[in-house]
Amino acid sequence: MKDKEQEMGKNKGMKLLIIDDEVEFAATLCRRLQLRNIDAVDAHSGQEGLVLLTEEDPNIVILDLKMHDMSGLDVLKKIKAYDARIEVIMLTGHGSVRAGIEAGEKGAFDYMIKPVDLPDLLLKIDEAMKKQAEGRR
Amino acid sequence: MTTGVTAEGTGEQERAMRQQQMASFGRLLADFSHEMRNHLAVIQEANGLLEDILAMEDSKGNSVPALLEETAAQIGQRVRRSADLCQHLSKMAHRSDTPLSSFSVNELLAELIVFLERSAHSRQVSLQLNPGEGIGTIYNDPALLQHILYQLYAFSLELLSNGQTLVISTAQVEGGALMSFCLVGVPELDLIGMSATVLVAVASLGAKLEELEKTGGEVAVSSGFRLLVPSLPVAL
Repeated sequence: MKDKEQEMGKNKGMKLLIIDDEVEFAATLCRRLQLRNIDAVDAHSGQEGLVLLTEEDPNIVILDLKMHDMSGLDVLKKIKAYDARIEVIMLTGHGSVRAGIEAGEKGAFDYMIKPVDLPDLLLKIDEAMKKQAEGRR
Repeated sequence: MTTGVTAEGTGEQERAMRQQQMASFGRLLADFSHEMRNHLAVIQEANGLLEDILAMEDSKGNSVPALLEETAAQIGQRVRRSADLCQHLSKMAHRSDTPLSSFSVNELLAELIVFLERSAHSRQVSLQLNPGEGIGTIYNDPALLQHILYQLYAFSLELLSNGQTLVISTAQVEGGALMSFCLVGVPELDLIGMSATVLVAVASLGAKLEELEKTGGEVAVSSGFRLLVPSLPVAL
């Protein structure tokens, strides 16, 4: 693990929520982010994600586009209604760019296609944190 | 009492039915690639965690068997390659989302080539793609073009043998795009041998299929054909 990766999340007060109904994916990604000193929690459905949203108050949400109980776009809408400053990175297994464009229109910070390389995701998280910090100034 | 339904449809009905069939097939493929990507994502993260643990052990001064690191790297590499294939499959599948759309012939061809390389390789035929530069998008039926290109490729492969090369090139022409298939090492071919249904599909696309001039002087060393695909007026 690179030192730079380990430094991410330190002293930034970052809280990250992963919402994905692919339980093993969400749990393992969460563990890997925690190993990099990122305060991450995971939820395995849209509903559980919305509960954790109010309990954990995250700065960043990593959200799956297609879940069994709710569409990621509906969850995105609710997250933005709860707190528009929360930056949401959408994850999708779809090859069509249409869903990503729609997510962008609904306020997502960006979207990435699964499987993602962790360094790329870390970079995206960093960018989302910077955008949020600029918005709070 | 049931009402009888005639089995024969009009040409329009037949076309609509084929389009619907393509769309269903496309959706199935897109769903399949989506599902595969989810599995790959889980494997990638599990493997990543394994790499993290190995790296931590290493940094603590514990010896990590080189074979373990090598295996984890191999898994990662294969996952990335499989994810790329799924991405191509998904893009290809989404080509039949709408019957007519604007698309790049170079991108469409690149998606297809990924899946054609294996069969060319198994026949020991080299496959070379020469995408023309600065080709704009055309408006036509991308799923039908995909089908035609696959059939043209299969036709070419039947004529090529060990050590020969198939060169597929693209170029922009007025009102559309040109796709050339050059069979290096095949002195002669006859488009009459092409399946009639492929020729019907070519006509349905509004395209033209022509033989290329033979090259190599008196003794021809290559032959081929080209497909001129028109860009249709965009329907408003």
